Amino acid sequence: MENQKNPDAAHLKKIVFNMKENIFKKLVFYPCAIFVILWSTCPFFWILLTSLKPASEIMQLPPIIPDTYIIDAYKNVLLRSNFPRYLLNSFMVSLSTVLITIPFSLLAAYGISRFSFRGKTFILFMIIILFTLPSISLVAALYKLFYTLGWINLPISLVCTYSAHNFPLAFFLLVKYIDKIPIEMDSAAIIDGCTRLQTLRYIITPLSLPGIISTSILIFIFCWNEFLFALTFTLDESTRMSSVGIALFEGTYEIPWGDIAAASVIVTLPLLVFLVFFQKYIVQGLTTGAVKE
Amino acid sequence: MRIRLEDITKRYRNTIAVSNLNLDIRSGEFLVVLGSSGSGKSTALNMIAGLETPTSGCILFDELMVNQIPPGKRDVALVFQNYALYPHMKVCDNISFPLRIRKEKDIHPKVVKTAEMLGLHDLLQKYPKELSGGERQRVALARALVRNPQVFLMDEPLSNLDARLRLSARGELKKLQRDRNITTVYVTHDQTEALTLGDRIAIMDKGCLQQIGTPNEIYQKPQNIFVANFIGTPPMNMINIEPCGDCSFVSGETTFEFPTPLPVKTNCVFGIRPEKLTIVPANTPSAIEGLIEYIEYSGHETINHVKIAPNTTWYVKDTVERIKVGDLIGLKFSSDDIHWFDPITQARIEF
Repeated sequence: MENQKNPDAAHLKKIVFNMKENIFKKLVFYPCAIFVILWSTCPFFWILLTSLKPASEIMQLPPIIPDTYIIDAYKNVLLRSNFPRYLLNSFMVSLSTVLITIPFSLLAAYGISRFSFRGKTFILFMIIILFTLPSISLVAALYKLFYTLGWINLPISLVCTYSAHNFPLAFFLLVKYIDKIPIEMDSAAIIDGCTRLQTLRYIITPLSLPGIISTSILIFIFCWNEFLFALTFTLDESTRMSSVGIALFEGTYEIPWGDIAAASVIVTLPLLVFLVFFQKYIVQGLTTGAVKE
Repeated sequence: MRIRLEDITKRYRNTIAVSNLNLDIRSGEFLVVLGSSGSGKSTALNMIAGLETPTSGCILFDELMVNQIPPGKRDVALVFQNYALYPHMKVCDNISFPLRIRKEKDIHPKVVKTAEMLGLHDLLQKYPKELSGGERQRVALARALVRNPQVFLMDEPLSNLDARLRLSARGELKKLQRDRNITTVYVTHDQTEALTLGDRIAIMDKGCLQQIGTPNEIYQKPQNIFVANFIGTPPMNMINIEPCGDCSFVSGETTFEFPTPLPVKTNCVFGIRPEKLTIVPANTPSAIEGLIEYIEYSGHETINHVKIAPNTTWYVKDTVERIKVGDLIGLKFSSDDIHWFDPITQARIEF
């Protein structure tokens, strides 16, 4: 009781510090955070509004908040265009890329994390180089390659490119994750009678599942957003990716901004759903290895 | 199963972890390998388990050389210091895992039987993170015992438990091993554990075996200065001496008297255990004089720090009423209790 009446100096200091922190939060942190959030989400809301406006109001400046909302643009995109087809293409290519990249990078990451062997540093170095190669430097060579193979306008060209391109990222994220699993787990499994592959299957994979999920989502998002390779390798209507589809939306006499906006919103939706469901894993994946645990 | 290590050496790039290790572990024996960290004791254990391959030498299980046999096929079980329970599996799945991997039949009754033996039947549906340290340790034991291994290996299995739990776990472990009569190799840095658990103790330092023997042999007849120093709390008191005359010797600047004629004629290392010294009044004939520097009282025993020469302080385990810091006292000992070592070879000198 007495302590509450006469808080000692340290306690007072703490209160003052907390107050200072509160003021800082109120006056600096929150306004900044709100500004940044608005700054980066504004374009998206603009697109959302555009997709719901009647065509006559779209180009009006300054932009106005419309009185009536219409969903004609969505109807156009989903029912009267090839866009659903593009979405399916994007989905299939992204999913295939994930399904190919994850097993390969998991095997590689396990090997690098657990064994020391001649040339290990060299291999790591080569993977880092792969990581830093800009896409644009590869486009011409890959086009030539796929042209020769007859893969132009086939989804396999994209799946191959994306798998190779995403391998370093997936590999490094998974190495970081597996490094955190104590080596005794492997020893215990091996003593219990597992082979190396069984250890990977029964022990390491389940234990690194959060890492695998977050890596998969990051790869999926990369493929879903990718534009350069998609534009170069798959221009055909039947294999076009949604990102390219939006850019090449055709109108009869003018650019159909409403339809483009609606398509952009539709393309974003699956990613938002992912974010909501797997938020925990994505944040984990991005910050893995950032702090010592 | 009898385990023999013949001239085992393990080298990592530039360091030698274990050098020329020879061990003969009898069937059903409880052997404790004792050493400080970096002594190569865990490496030796891992080689028996098969997690590491020796650079040279052979490991024999009975008459079979197992160097090339993978751990899963050696029929050994290993309990780790941090238990290494699989965090994503329930207790029952952890215990049954070695059986499932080996595709054995009748898994469930074996799991239940082992769990009951270790008092784990109520915990079978829990995850390791929901268990206390002692419970985890018992799950680790259950996972090791469930498949009736021929060899039981333990790498500091009790060091993550608190002191009270460790005492009871020690008793259970010893009983378990005796009931099952499994050859056991137990690695620890804790000499109390080693002395209480082991049928025999192997002491290692810097990759070399220093001495192997029963706890009594190790304590009473340490084969070299390292073992003498390592075993016993507080450690053995040791001084370098130079004989002068029949019944006295010099250490540094100080001359001491010896109760009987000195058995050694040359420079020696003189050692005596703290409990073999008795405190007597100062000026008692043939007693070593010293000054009480510090008294460490811990209930059942008292350890006195006694300064007998400018740079030499001895531990004396003796309870005497009415002495206090700063008192001048005498220390008496029997010449039979002295350990003599060669200062050059470090080896014990027997008479």
